[in-house]
Amino acid sequence: MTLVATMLIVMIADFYVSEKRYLVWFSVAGLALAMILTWFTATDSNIFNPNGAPKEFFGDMVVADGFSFFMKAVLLGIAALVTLMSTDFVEKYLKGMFMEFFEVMFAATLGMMLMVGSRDFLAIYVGLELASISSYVLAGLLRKDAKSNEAALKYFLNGAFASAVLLFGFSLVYGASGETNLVHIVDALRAGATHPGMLSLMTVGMIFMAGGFAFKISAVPMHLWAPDAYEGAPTPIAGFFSVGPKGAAFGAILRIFMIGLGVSPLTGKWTIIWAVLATASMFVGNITALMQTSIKRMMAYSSIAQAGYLLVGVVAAGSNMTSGKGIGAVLFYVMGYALTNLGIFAVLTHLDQEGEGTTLENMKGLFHRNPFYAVTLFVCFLSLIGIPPTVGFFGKLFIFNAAVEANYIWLALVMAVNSVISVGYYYGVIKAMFLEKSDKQALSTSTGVMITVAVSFIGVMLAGILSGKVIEYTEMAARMLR
Amino acid sequence: MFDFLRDYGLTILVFAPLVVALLMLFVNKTQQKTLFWLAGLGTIIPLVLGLLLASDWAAAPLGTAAHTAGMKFALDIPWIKAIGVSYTVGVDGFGFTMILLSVLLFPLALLSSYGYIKDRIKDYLILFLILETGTNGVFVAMDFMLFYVFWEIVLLPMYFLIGIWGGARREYAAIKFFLYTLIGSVIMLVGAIYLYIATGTGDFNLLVLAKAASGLPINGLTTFAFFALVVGFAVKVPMFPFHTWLPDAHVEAPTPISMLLAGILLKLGSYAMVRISHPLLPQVAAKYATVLFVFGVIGIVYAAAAAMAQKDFKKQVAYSSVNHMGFFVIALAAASYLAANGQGESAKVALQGGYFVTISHGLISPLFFFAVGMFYERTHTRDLGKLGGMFLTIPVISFITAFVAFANLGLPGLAGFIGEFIALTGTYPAYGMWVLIAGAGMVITAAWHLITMRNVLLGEAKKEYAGLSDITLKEKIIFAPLAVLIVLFGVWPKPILDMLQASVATLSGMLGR
Repeated sequence: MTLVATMLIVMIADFYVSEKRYLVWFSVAGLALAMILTWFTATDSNIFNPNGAPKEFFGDMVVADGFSFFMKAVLLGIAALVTLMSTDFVEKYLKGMFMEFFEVMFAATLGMMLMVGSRDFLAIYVGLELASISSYVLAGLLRKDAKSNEAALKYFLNGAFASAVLLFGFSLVYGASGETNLVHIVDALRAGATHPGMLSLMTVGMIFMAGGFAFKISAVPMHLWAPDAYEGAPTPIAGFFSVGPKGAAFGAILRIFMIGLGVSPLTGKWTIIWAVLATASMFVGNITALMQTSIKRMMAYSSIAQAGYLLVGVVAAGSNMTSGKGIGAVLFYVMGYALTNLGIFAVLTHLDQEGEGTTLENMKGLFHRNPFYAVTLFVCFLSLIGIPPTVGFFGKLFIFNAAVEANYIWLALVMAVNSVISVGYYYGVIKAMFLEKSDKQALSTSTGVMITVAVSFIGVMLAGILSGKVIEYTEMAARMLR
Repeated sequence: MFDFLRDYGLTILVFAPLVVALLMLFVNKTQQKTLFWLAGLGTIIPLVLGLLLASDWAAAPLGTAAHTAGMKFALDIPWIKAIGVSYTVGVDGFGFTMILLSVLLFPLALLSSYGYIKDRIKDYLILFLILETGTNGVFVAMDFMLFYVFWEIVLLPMYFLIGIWGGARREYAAIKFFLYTLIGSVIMLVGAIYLYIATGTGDFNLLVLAKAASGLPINGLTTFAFFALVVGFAVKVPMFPFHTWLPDAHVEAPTPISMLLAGILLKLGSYAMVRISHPLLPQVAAKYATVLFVFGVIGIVYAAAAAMAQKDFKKQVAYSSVNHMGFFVIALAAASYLAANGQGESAKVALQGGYFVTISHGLISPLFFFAVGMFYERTHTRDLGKLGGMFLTIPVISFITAFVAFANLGLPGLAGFIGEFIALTGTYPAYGMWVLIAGAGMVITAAWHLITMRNVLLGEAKKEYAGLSDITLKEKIIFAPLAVLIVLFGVWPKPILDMLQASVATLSGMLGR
């Protein structure tokens, strides 16, 4: 794939650029170039034609269809926004590691893109490990900070365990079907569906895979690493964790479960598994978030809850295989969630880089100190709660609608109840920002953070108002999932 | 020109304040005069448009397409095709009377903010204009999702307007208001989406949904959907027992916001009932009409008694809102009962009376809150025990207070009487003598108004209030239009009743199906 080459060129070129600040713009340009190249790889298969055959690479291991194009565009966008918002942060706290920071992050992005574009266990696993190992490094980049080290170690130990579980699941499915390619697995399944031994082996493998992926998306009960990793990791990286690996994992989940395991006796089983995990994630995430005073920890629990909402979309997709509404809703939500969360983390990054810390105490009177940041945070919180006219409302609406259509009314109700619970903790921050006074002086701005915040603000509003067009596109991409 | 306005008039009316609010972002916050002029422009444009449309009301053609049948000034553009959401606006008598009330109240409330709000003026005005867009949007939206978007947009500025510029316990009042309404609206959303799925229309248009959903059988799920919608709206009305946020919100809100809250925001709930919950599920509404009636009657009596017990002038007026909106609730309940039992004519009377109550209350209660505000600005107290002898100190303001108190207690000849009288007349055929309980509520209401007037207005002039200034020009300008309309509709309600006629007939036809 041309993407790989692009990333490598960007990285090698990095070594030769002496003025480090230019490097950031160079990186963003590289990401844009990668995005354009992705477009071209995908246009060959005619991404606007749902019936066209997708283009295959590396002996059918990697596929370029509308689905992977959309996910890759989102992931590259995430990488670009994180790059922008971390410029000044990196310069201040990670002075000697300018290159490492961005390169490792791009490596992670590359891995994630491989995850969403592959339809072979081997390629998915390679991508996942590339993303994970880069993430462990990123979490521990603040080498002299004990919390950062703790975060890296915790993330690494848990992550390695989860990867092993996932791999074991892969191997069981391989053992049952004799194939690693998802398309062939499903053929083998259809052929041998009547064989009881094969089905039970597949079921066990499926449970292991669900466990492994639950770690990656920080779904309950595999979520305990998230708060510590978010709190200890450098703030922009915490933002990256909350949307990047999670989005990519959802891409991989959708492809593996919908394509590889999308056959009738199995779909019923894995939808139940994900439905239970979704319910647990929503409740545990939202209720625990109510008790947090550190915004980063709060956002970690919020992201656990958001994983729960997304899982509702996966469940809807699984129980209504043909409609494409569930997948379309998940894709829309991933995009909206990325826009929203990066706005929040950009503001947190800026507070952190001013040496202020990110507890509830630091948010007091933010509206008086920097109205634009405060209003963006407010709009982003509305989006996370799901209040119109933000993108989060429409994302939830599409997932909700897909769930009700798939006869998962109880799950949709759980979602509605949780949206109301989540008001509790976002409200604390909103109240601190707008209703309380602070005697601190006005907060300065920095270009990179400002661009990210502006993109997030405009994106959250615009993607909400134009959600009609976007959902049409994501549903089409969903129907092209091969 | 009317051709253009017939298509786009409502859209411009709704979004003009928002556009002006966005412009205001670029004005420096120290230029308060400019900001106020801009905000004035943002509220005057809808007023002018509203009046222009009103002059065209009789001549404007009715919509014929499925999305806009029976609506005037309609516009229909697809928005989210994937789930059948479209940008559909249009008004019938129910919506248009509310639009006219709204475009009248917003400039008046803005004027009363001038000089009263001193802190963070730019933020206040921007939120104020966003509130107007949200409110007017609710009254014109013909698509459930569009309706919901505007419904929630109302919530957000209101939270800040109470929470930042309110009284001592403003934060508590603001979050209580926010949570009540948010929980109500989430439940309502669930109910509406259920109906959308159950009817299988694939369309969120309210008229299309009404046509399909009224054929659904009465079972657990449709009953749930009906009460989900009704509870969501009842919080806003507010209907007993969902009213407890209102006294807090009213007492803490600044005067202009109280005027808007009582005058127009409560009507979002009553309008939504006649537009959504009852047309969508008339069969369930008829079955449970008595439940609604009972809550309405309890609300009337309870709120009247509660008002009598208050020591805070503003809280008294706040409870009287619960009391008056109760008349709307019982009239609506009676109408759905009557229409389902083949008494369409009586149902029409009840509906017309009930809706007239909301309109007259929309004129009277803002003026009452404004009068309380005038006292508070001068005496800095709302404690009924401390006020007294005001007729001798500030006679003109006292006269206004007496006038509006009489209007509020339902004195014949003023607008308050007409609605309540027609509503009770229309309710009687359905519930017979039980209506007398509501009549008892009216008596209690009259009693506390008289007691309050005696305490505040009559008696010896108090020394500490000597030398207070009487009414200012600004206050006269706010008082005059409302007072004129209260008297006018008290003796000549025909214009409003005519405007409501067709819509009332349609709704009673739907309820009787």
